[in-house]
Amino acid sequence: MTAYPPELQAFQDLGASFARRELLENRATHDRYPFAPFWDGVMRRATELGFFGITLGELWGGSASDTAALVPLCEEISRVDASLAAIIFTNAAALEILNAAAESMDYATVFGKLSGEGVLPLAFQSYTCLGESVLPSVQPAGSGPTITGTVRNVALGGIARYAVVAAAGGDGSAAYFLADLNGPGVGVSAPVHCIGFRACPSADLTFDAAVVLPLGAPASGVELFQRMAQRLAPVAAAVLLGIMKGCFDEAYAYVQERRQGGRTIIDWPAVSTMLAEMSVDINLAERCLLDSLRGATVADARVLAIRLGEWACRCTTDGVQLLGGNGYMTDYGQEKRLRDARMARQLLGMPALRKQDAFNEQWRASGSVVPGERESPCPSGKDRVIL
Amino acid sequence: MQLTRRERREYLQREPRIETVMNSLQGLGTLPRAILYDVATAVALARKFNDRVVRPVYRDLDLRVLQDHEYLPHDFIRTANEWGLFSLWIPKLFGGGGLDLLSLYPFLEEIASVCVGLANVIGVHYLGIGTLSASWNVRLMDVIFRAVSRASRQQEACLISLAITEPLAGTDVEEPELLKRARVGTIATRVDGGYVINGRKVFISNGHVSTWHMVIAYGDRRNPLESSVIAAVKTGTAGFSFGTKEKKMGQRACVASELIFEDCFVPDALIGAAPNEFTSTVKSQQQIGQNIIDFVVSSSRAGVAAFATGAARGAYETALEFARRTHVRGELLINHQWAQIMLADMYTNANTARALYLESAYANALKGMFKPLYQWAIHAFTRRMPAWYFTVFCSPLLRLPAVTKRVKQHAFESYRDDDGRIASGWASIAKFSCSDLAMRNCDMAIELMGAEGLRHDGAAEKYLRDAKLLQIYEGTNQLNRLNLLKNMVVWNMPEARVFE
Repeated sequence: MTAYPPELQAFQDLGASFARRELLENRATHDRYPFAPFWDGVMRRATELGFFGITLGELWGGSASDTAALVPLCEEISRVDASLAAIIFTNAAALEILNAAAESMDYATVFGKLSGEGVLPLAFQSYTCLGESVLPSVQPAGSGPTITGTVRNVALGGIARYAVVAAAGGDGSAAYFLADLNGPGVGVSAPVHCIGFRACPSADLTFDAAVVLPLGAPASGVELFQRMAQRLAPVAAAVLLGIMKGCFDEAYAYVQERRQGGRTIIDWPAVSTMLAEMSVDINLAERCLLDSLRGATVADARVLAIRLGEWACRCTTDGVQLLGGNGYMTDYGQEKRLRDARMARQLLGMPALRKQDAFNEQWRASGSVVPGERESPCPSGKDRVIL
Repeated sequence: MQLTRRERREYLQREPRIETVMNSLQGLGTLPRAILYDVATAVALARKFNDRVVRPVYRDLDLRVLQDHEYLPHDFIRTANEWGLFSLWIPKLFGGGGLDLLSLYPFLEEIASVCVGLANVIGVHYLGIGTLSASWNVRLMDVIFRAVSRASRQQEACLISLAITEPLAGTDVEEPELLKRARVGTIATRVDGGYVINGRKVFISNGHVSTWHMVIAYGDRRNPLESSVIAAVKTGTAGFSFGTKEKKMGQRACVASELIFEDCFVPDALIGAAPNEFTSTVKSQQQIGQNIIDFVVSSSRAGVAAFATGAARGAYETALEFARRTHVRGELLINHQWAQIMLADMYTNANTARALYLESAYANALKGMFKPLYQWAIHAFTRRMPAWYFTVFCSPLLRLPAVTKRVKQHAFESYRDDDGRIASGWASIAKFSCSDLAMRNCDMAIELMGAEGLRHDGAAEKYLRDAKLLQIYEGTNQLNRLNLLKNMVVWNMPEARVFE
């Protein structure tokens, strides 16, 4: 197990015991949603244990912990079934927008809504960063702003009561809003079938002059998103690390049992080399994650989450391979991990954009002109290529 | 020119030799030109079939199987049968459509560029056909292939599956060196008039929807390579039943079945190959067993490579279309240079993959199981004579046991080990390279498309789920790398040991 600081070990133990007790046995069934019932029992027990209020203020019924508390919790849960970790992540990302916005304004009304029973978790576009998709538009109205348009791929969109969504003002600048998904003018699609995290289902939301509550100042969307992304990046990394560890655990157990060519397959060097590759990546990832929690700059975790996305995809692809045909079947956990890793890689948005953002941030911090912001016109003068 | 004839000959003896690594160039001089026409016909047919049949159903079918695990794609199979796709590549000699065998690979690529699972439904049927062909039992081939061809003119299809994988022996049964040490469990016991088969086969593609099953069983569990039996078992035979349907991550349209044999009697008339069925002074039983495995996997791995090329291409085309219509940060994605680089890489991967599987296909035509069919006289004869001629005059001859015995003897004894080595090596290169490239393209497509790439209706995620199996079946990519090394790299290095 990852050697987390003492103050985080309780969350690690909680995550490990919960995963073992509540998630392992019915993992394959839970993963069949929407062709199997939603895991209401698991959600109820997760709510009772306060998984969705860890970063919520005490005044509103939460435990007001730092997002770091989510890191060991999500790692251990992801080791068994990352769908629940995706729910925790999604809710935490939405809360983080609220928390950041609350620093500059009084949000008693908003947080008051969240302290009600069954209100958490919140829905959020966990796999999309700002600028990646077209935002709905905001119009001022007497009863508060309204938004019109579509927001796709909202994690927990069909499950949660409230969603934190971004919308664009007349000048194109983004801001965040709290939307009541049961409110008038709001349409929720059927669950979107996705490659993984099936028990953390997404939906597309359509707004038709739906009244929403603004979060933060006008045009503060990018700032709020960046801040949320910085704080949630270690959690995204933890989800990926948990998937990798679970993948290694299952592969390691299998290769000691399965025989091919007259010997257990771990005794084939080609197999043990693959395991060694996985182990090296896991050890390095674990060390980097702990470093980022121990006071390295927060930006490190953003970079780590990007790289871990690639490692987790490679690790889980190999994890299926090590189990051969069995790894491809839902009777084992590996194929789910392969699929979940692709979802987890997209937490906080398109990896290519996140890489550019992280790189640009470093350039800005060093006082240099950001290369990505230089434009080079095409000879035609009409279109342009973004360098 | 500062090169004597002797020097030319000597320099060409160095590795890599032209006859080993330039199959397509060799084919230019020796293979019939009609191949290109048939390839073009097959590609056009596949594109029409995709538009009319595959695209309208493939996504729903994928979800349907996830929802209802018992669902089988009978409607699709019936339609494909009506289009003649299950007999089109059976030689006219056996009552089939007689389209050139090399054209099957580009056809499969086209179908797989939309849905690998449905491509497998068609492709794996030809794996069954290939397995029976590898036995060179022309009498049984004539019986079963003509039944398949007749069915293509009727309502219900007659499909053939290959049953080789076992619960305790997956990769082992794909490689002669490993088969010697495998823990096989499907045993064929010799009895009067035939064999009795007991055991289980798993992960058998098309199992539940096939009429015939080419079952690989073993007479001696301690010596499987030299005791292999190829038995044709028909659905409904006493002692043969279907077990579970596997729950797969992808390629859901193509059922993966468990086949159960409990004292299943197979008469001699349905035995495609058996140990010591003819006496050879040229080849040992082990060499013949190795030849059969090489024949099958050299053609089937090129087929997997064609599937993989389709997946690589489909993922690329999906990402390209997405990039053309999606704005990211205020600009069309296709105008972001980082996206352009990714798309260029994906295009390259798809075309690299195609070049590789075609090299393997050429190797099969020049040096593999297809070789006899491409000898000029045979090719011209089978192409020009009308179908009725083969039915009236050839079929009765092919049914004579003596003819099968003579054909087998000639086919195995005249087959050069060097040819088998090269065909097998190229099949492995194509199989693992193309499937790795497919996985790379699928991952890149999802990455490029962001959240939209994760959605089932975005199509990219399905390519990834489907493509992963291509790295596993027909021998894992690890096994294929070692097989390549054995056949192409260290084949003349006595100090090198592979599979040890």
